[in-house]
Amino acid sequence: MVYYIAFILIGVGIYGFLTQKNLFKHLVSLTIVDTAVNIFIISLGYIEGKEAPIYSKYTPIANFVDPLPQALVLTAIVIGVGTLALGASLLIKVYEKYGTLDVEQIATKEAEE
Amino acid sequence: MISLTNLILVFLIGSIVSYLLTKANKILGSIFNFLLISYALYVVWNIKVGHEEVLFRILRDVERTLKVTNLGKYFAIVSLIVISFVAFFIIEWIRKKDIKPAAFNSFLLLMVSGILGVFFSNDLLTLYIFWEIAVLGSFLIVPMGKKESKRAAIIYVVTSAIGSYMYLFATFSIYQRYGILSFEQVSQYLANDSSNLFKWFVILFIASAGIAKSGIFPLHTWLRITHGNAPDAFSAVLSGQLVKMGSYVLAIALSVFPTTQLFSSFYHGVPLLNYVLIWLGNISILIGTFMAIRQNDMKQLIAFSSIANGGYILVGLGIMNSIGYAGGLFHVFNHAIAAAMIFLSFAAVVYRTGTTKIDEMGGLIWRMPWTFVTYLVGIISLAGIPPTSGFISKWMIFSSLVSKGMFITLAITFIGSVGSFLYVFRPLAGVFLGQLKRKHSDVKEVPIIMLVPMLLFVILTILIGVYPKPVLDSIVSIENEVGIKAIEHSGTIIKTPLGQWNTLTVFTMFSVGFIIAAILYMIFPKGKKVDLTDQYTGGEYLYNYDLYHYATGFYRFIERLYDKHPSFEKLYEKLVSFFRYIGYFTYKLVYKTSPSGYVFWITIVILILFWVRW
Amino acid sequence: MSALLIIIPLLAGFLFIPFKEKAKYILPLVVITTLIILLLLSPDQTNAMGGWKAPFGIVLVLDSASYYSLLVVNIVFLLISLMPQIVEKGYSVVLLILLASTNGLVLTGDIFNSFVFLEITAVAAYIIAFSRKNPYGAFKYLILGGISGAFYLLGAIYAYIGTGSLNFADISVNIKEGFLPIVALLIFIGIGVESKIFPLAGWVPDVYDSGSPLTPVILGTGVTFTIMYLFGRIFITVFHGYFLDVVFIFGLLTIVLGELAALRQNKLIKALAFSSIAQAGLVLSTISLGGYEAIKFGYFHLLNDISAKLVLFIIAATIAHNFTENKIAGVSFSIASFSLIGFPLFAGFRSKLLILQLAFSKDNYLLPAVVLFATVIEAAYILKWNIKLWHSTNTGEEKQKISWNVNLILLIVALLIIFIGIFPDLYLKMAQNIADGLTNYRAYVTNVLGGM
Repeated sequence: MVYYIAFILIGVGIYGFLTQKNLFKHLVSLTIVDTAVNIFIISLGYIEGKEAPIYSKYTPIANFVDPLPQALVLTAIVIGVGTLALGASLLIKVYEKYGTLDVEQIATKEAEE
Repeated sequence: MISLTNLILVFLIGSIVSYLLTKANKILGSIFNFLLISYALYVVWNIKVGHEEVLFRILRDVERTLKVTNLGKYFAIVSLIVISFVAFFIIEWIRKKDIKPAAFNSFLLLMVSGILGVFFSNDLLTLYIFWEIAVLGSFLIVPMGKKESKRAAIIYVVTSAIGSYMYLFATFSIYQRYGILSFEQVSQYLANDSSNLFKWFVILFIASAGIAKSGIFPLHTWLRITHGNAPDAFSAVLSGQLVKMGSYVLAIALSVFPTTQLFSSFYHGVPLLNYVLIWLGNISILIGTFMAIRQNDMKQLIAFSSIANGGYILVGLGIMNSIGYAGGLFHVFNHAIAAAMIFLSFAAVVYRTGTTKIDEMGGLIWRMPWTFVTYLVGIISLAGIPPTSGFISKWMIFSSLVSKGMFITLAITFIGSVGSFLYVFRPLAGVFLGQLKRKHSDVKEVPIIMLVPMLLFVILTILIGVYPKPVLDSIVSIENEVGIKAIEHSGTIIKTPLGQWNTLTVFTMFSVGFIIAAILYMIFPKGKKVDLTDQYTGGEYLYNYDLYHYATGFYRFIERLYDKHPSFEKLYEKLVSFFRYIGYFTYKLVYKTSPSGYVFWITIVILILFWVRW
Repeated sequence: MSALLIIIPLLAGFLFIPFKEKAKYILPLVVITTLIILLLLSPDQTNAMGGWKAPFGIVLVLDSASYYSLLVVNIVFLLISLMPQIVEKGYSVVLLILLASTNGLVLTGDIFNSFVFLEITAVAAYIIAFSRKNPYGAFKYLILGGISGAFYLLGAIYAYIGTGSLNFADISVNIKEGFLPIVALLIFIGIGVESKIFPLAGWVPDVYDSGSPLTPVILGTGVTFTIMYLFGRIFITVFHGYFLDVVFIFGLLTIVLGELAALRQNKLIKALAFSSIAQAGLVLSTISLGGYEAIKFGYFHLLNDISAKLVLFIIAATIAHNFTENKIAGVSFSIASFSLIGFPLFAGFRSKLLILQLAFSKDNYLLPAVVLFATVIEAAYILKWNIKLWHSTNTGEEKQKISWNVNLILLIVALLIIFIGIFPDLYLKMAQNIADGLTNYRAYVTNVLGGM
């Protein structure tokens, strides 16, 4: 079930890329795709009825979900946030330079240069 | 005696030395160049046929060797004669030109090192390597010429690349199929090969390098712009020597790989492949002749004539019987000398007047008589009139065509010959004869250093015209080498199926005729010398005398017949713009879009791969 | 020990963030240190990070392939660090981080770890792409890089599902048949964007044309080499050559369309960017011919290409008017462009000849035809630019002088190109070692997992 949500979200992200003309919305679409991949990774590690992978004296039997995907997702999220922040700052510069974030208007302005 | 490998290395290092010397002193560097090239001529002249040297290895199991063959030695000597004479000419010429002298001299030596290697390579790949070095050296010199020469250089190198890459493709196909590359072995393997298609492909692709280089249709378009716009003295090398490199490759493709034995006869002993190539030669003769008639730029005019003469050489070589092949080889020599003479005389004219447009000059015979003599003898040889050597080779080609019964080709070569009278007359009349323009009234003859090589060419071409034995001897040894029945000759007498020909008798007859004409000229009263401005037009005052100069629209009446001729230059331009359009389309569609476009392409790639795989 | 190659530049980078201006002095020192460490190390060793043995922990693998790739990448960084003029103000820190991430990318033996380093490389590349105010190009690159990163991550995760491990060696041995196609596809998309494959790499011309010489130089040489190494590592060592037939077709498309697109450019740096794309296509399609020799010649050509591109990009970005004022730079530029076209005497000729011979020996007549056609076009536009720059008449406008150290380094690289053209053994040996390491996956697996 969660797989499907992940793939639908990737589809939504790509749809956003293909239809939107605003650069900021492209950045949002990128985040959606990133999130979708993250959801997909978490969904892999989840096993019905198992516990959180914290080893203590109260959990003598190792009845855990797979902990690795969660570790991966944490890293991936950090990278995603970094990229997002960089993208947003680049967009500010784009706006300063062209005065707009619309793809077509930027293209016409570039052609004028 | 220095070995060939070292000689080539000397030239490679010499190109750097020459750069430094010319930087220090233009004349010193040019003298160094001349001495080095003459030394190479001396070495090549004395080298023994059959001499072999191991060079270096590139591919596994294939030795690179240099080997002296009669064919290579003949071409090398002709080339080096032309280049060394031109190098002597350059000593004076380079003083005044605003080209980059250091780079010019340095690249000239680089080119010569490539040329030496080309003619002595014993296998296909070595030939390619040196070929490209020669192309590189000459390519670097071409853009030093007139304004359009920048474009000319690109067209030159691209055409050359098309030819040489086809050659390379064939070379690797041979290597893949037989594992060998040396000429002898390749021709043996080819003779035993059962696949006719492969043989066709190999020989056509190898010949295409020669076709591109010697300006044969359909790769002829670069000659006009390149020869017309290259530095003046270098045009002599281009037309007199570099084009002959193409003829050398054609000779290899046709005779070293024995086409007459590889393929069955198609028409009187001429295989279909040779027949196709002969027809390419025919078309080149027609294009070269008719387009040369139209030109008003004297260098471009002779450039088109080079196309036509390349056609003659190909026709001669293509027939592959004893007299036709000899005629082709002899024509290599004649055209090399004649084209070099003509271009040098043009360089002398440009040196003094600064223009190449025929209708901007006139009457220069009074100011530059020796240059005129050079040009006159050059065109006589080019048009194939005895007593110059040009007549012999054309006669040999004609007679072999007659003996093979190829009358269409014969007719075309005759048209080419008659046409050559027409086009060489245009610069003669427009530049040298007629009325002297006022702006050229203080033009002087060029310095003696420039005259010496020009007059040496004159002497050489008449000498060989009267006594062709040296050239004929080397042609006989070449024909023995490639297994064609050698021509029969005895010094001045050449035997052909159409009877024999004594050059000495012809020379005597022509000398007598010349003397009679000279006497008549002396006896009869002289015409009145009219100044260019000494005329009137219906009482109107003339402002622009150039328009009334008779060289303007010289052959208008002939040109009118084919004003709307199809132009291959335009066709190729269209092809180029088509490629550029595809490139632009790609650029706009894939590289210059917004992020949406990029993501679109990623999706497309994923979908295609999914569709292909599952 | 090999972890120091990543730690030292990373630490130096973060330490010098407060003193960004000073970082340009530390950059050469750091690069020299990493080079010395590299020379002290011997190939064929595996370092398990944090004591976690493979396949459970992250390992850094130093075999002959990664050793020589590191050597190449670090030498490129050294050359760039010795030319501080071309590095924009404050970008030395970014270069340090880029050095750390490229070293990591080459060393790592873990697919998720390679994703992390790939993203760090990409982020550093976005920042470098931004230099001299080129925000739109950088943003486009960021979007594409982000998407490709997501696909690479998906591929890595599928590999994890298919094997239960993230280790390259483990994946190469244990991956289930059914997972191979999807993993290969996703990773192809992920790497394709960075390795300039035709329809995926739309970002290249706009980014290379950022106005700063640093952007094309570092992205076109050091980073390109790293990505090509990663490509070889994944598709040859891990997938044993699976999927290469698809890459071959895309490589051919890249060659032809890249060269054609370059024909119409009226800016030198963009034309060179397209040439860089086409050469990457040539390298990829050569590698994907398959077999030891193909990989060797592919990397040999890549080495020649990056040597030429180093010279070309720096000169193209600094002087765009003429060479008459800067003769030495002009000579270096011409030598590099002749090598790119493949004139004899120059390095590019050797690799192109070997590639042609190899393609013929595999009965592949398509690649030679495409290569020769592309070379004709390449000769046309590269030589056009050479003539334009040598014979241009407008001496006016801004006169940009190239300082002596840049000139010297470029001249040395240009002479190296001629040297390789005559004695190619130096580069061939490097390429051979890389090919050895990449093709010998049994040794790789034993090396990492330890006697299995």
